[in-house]
Amino acid sequence: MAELLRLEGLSKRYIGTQALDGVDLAIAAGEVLCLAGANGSGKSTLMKCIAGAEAPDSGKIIWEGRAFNRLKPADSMRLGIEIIYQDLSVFSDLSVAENIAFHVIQARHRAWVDWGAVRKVAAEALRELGASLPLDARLGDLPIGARQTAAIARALTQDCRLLVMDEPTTALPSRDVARLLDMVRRLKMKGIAVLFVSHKLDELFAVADRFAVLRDGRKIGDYAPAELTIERLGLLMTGIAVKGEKAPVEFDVTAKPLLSVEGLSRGGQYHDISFALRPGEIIGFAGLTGAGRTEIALSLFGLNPPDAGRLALDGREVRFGSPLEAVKAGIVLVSEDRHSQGLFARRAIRTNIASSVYERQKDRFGLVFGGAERRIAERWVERVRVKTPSVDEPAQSLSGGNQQKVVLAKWLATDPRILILDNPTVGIDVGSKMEIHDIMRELARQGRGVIVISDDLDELVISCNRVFLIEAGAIAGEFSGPDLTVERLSGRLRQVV
Amino acid sequence: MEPMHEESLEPNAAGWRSRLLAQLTGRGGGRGGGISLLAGLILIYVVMVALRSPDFLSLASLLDLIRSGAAWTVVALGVLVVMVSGGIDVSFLANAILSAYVATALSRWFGIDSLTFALVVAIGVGALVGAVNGLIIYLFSLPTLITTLAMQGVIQGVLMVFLGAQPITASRMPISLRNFGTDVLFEVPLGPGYIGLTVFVIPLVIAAISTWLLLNRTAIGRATYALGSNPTAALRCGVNLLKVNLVIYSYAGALAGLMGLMMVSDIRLVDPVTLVGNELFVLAAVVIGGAKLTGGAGSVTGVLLGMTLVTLLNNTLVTIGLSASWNRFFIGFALVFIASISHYRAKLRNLRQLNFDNI
Repeated sequence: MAELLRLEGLSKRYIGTQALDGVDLAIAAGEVLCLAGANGSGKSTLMKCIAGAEAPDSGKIIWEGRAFNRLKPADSMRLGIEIIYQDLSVFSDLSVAENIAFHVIQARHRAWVDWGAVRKVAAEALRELGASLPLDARLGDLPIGARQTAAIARALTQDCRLLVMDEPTTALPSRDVARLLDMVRRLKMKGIAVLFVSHKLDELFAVADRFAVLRDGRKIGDYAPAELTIERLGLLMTGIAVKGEKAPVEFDVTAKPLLSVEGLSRGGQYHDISFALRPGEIIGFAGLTGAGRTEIALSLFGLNPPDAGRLALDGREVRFGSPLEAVKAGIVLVSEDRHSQGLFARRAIRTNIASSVYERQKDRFGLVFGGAERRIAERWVERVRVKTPSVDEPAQSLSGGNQQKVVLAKWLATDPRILILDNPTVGIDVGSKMEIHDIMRELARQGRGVIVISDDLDELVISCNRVFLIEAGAIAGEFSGPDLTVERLSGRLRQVV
Repeated sequence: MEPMHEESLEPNAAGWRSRLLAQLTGRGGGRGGGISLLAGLILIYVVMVALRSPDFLSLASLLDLIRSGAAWTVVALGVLVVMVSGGIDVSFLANAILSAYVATALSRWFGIDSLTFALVVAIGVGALVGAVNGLIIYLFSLPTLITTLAMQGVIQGVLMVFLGAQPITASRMPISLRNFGTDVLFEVPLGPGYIGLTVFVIPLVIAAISTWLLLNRTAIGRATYALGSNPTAALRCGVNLLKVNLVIYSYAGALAGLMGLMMVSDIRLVDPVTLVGNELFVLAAVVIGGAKLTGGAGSVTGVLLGMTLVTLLNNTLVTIGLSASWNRFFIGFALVFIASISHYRAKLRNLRQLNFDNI
């Protein structure tokens, strides 16, 4: 395979951090390279240098033998480098066809739009991908997988030689991952090089030709998929060994349930869900995205009200009209998307943590000053080990893992009795992930109940006492004790797919 | 290979309430959202008025509606374009009067009594003021509301200084302008006299067609929708923000200038306070017509219908036994009502995808 892009000794320094430190990287036409790295390892900076959004301090970017000191965004586009950012950069209000053919419409010499040509271009790009989408649908009405497909198709309408995808699988339901891999194989056959930039790589083993690992701005090495396992990759990324051992917390199985759920149903989403959560127990929900896991969790939290069934806390029936009532009763939900639903990114860490407990910050005149906020925040920063110089830093200055700890701390400050965590470790590095698992176990030891929804079977196996498999809105299986293994769970999940 | 995502593309079976609402508001999505609801409301209102006064259902009423709504619709079309981009322009009425004043004053100064000359000047001045808006917004990345509000203040101040004491009255206006305000394309007999179709219908049709072409058939129009829908993505895709800003704000300004000339020809007075405070009606018409304040949505048809509703309310409240003072109440009410419905629709759509952003 002909070499397409080579980076030689790329370095970039920001104030306080060496983001990239002499990185060498090469990718050939038709090659699928996975660039793995934890948060803060420099992979975003590397991607920006390729996109032309950042200029490296030193080093060379060599495209088919031509050396550049830096690329400008226009150079990068002209060379055939297409970047798909994590947010996909698509237009919800526009149609599928227009999204895909956007560059064609906006081409420099064109003033008028030929809608027939737009549809043709879009249909052709989708055909090349082996995908089909309704061309006239509003893109915002389609699920995330369809939006990603449109973003890839849009890249194909340009003379794309190298497709860079940032965190392509992080927000994707598992069945869409298979479709993504299918599309990548087609791109590969067309001789297009694909660079995945991600920290969630287990799904990419199937399609990757090579892995490159970045840690602290340095390249650790290149590896063939055959010489790697998920554990070893995790170790390379973080330098910490991932202990994939089962370590559930013991709890009193005869204790009175904290939460009992009986025959909970909601039309079109889930039906007849019954289980009991005891103090100190960690229950996991496995299943595909869309199977009803998140929908059930939202109902327990007072959003998405159920049509039928009962909920009881300590044996007393409850009915929540809003999340506020659920929080007051001691149930909190840490949602999957911390960016839009859990974090005030620009506000200080202390404001984030204390935002759930304004009542407790009131002085005797009912006024809120900063002192209580700082005390509450500092206590929690220490307890969940948020790595930050001060609680005054904005939340967005933290790495993904530490941001998630701040969100957790915010809810822990309310002293909840039951925590529902929806994919609590998505998008964070392995080290932070293990720390969050430790926090979960610590909460269980304190006698709280925990419900974890996760796509990461490993995570469920090592921390849960019981795991329910949710399938088409119903509990299709229960795994505990020796039955609770990744092999068993993934075996059952595969049957579903 | 089987079609992708097939099973998840259909909306979930929803309750009767949301189904009814979907019927009411049309499933047109971002572009045609709420159009059928609006048309229905207009129909209901027309029937209400007709029950009180059967004479209302006549060609005369229609001609009158066009006459009183034409200029306002022209300026609303410009506001639409800005709103699609995610911005808002509140300087349009001040700009309209300024443009009309400059056109009239230059006509008198040079002694030129020509409608074409006045039109060119008014549209040119309007476009220039708009371009300044667009340039300031681009250069300093300012919020569009603040920029255009400031521009409104500046223009009003200038007008008060130059014109405050001496408005240009009918007798001092060029004859061609006065004729522009009264000319008709054809007349039909009505009672003892005649009623005609105002020539204002020509600029109205031209503005509607050119706005539709701009928004739907040009690259820059589509870039405007893209910018309103997702500004970050639009910039990443290489949309030229300066160019789009200059084009849309100048276009809105040009239509404001045209509207100003139509207004002063109609009321035969150039006075700085004539139009002030009526921004609500125009903004309401555009939003009622389906434009989102956050950008990315809105259509010419929507503006035509929205302005029809607003003009109907303005003209006919007296007919159904309410004083004209109720205008603002009803228009404000209609604005909140329609905006709430469209927000509720967006919420239902988001709920189906378990997105609780705007609950």
